[in-house]
Amino acid sequence: MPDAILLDWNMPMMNGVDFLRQLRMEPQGQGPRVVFCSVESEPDRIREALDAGAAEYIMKPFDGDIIGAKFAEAGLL
Amino acid sequence: VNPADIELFVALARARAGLKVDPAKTYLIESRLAPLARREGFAGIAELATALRANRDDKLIWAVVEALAMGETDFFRDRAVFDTFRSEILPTLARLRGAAPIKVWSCACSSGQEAYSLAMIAEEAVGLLPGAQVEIYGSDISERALEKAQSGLYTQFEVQRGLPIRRLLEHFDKVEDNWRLTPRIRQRVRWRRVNLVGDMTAMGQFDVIFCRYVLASMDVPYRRRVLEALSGLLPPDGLLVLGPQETAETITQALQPVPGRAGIYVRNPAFRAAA
Repeated sequence: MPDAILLDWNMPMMNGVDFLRQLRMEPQGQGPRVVFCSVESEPDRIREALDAGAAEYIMKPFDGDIIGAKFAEAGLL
Repeated sequence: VNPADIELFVALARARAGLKVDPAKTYLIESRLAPLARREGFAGIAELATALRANRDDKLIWAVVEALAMGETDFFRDRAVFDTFRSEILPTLARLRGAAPIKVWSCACSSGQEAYSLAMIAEEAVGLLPGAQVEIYGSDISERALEKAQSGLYTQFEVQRGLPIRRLLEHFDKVEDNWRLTPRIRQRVRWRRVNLVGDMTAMGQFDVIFCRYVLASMDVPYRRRVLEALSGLLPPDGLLVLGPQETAETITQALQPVPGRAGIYVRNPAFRAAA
């Protein structure tokens, strides 16, 4: 399992929140810290990602140096 | 750009606000003043300089000074000091003050992020510190910065700088593509325009004054003046908060560092300002 996953809401086949819910049901799925990075910026959508287990959330578009700050916020740096 | 025009702008910023503007940074001066020149109906900053020389229009002079003073800021800039404020400073003051208000001043708040960061902490402490009355004040030299601060409206780029996502959801409402602080947080902050090198004797007392990243933008003699004026507004147990890399002891004897707390100072009881 990776230590961190940068995940979008919108993906082909399965969206990011469904992916995260499934990941958390895997035997070692609690491990990875998940940071969402998505054009979805409505509060309800963000809340859904956090409720599913995301540690932080980056809204696109964003400044380049935000990723480091958000990873630190998620306890990854 | 005409060097004489640059000298004029630099001299005005120094005389009015104690600002140290490097005349070699012509790009910075241009980027700050070109939009102002356009807004005021001038073809460019050369015409703005000509107008300033022709009639010493106070409003126009202040517009120039304010544009040069505009600082950059983030929510919860340098997280550690906000953690200290939340976990140590606020509970201690709540115990000492009882039902009397705890007055906290962000004295050069630019577009308001520092004052609102303090307001969010105060709001989150409501249930933890029953009876504590926290009053947050935000001031800046720039009317334009204060207008933005007062609106409580920030872009997506601004709210992503320093603000954890849960605090964003808790304290902001989404307004089209921007984010606005909730009325509860906005109502916690009182705003006013203050020139730190002006007369501050009528300001009253503050329990905690945040004055971060301000001194470096000021000309050396003004740094001392500002620190001594601010120290005079602190009660004996009040705190002055500078940036973590900023120091007061090389500038004035009026303040003493709090051991183990970078950038945090108390008044030096032995200090008497020179008459």
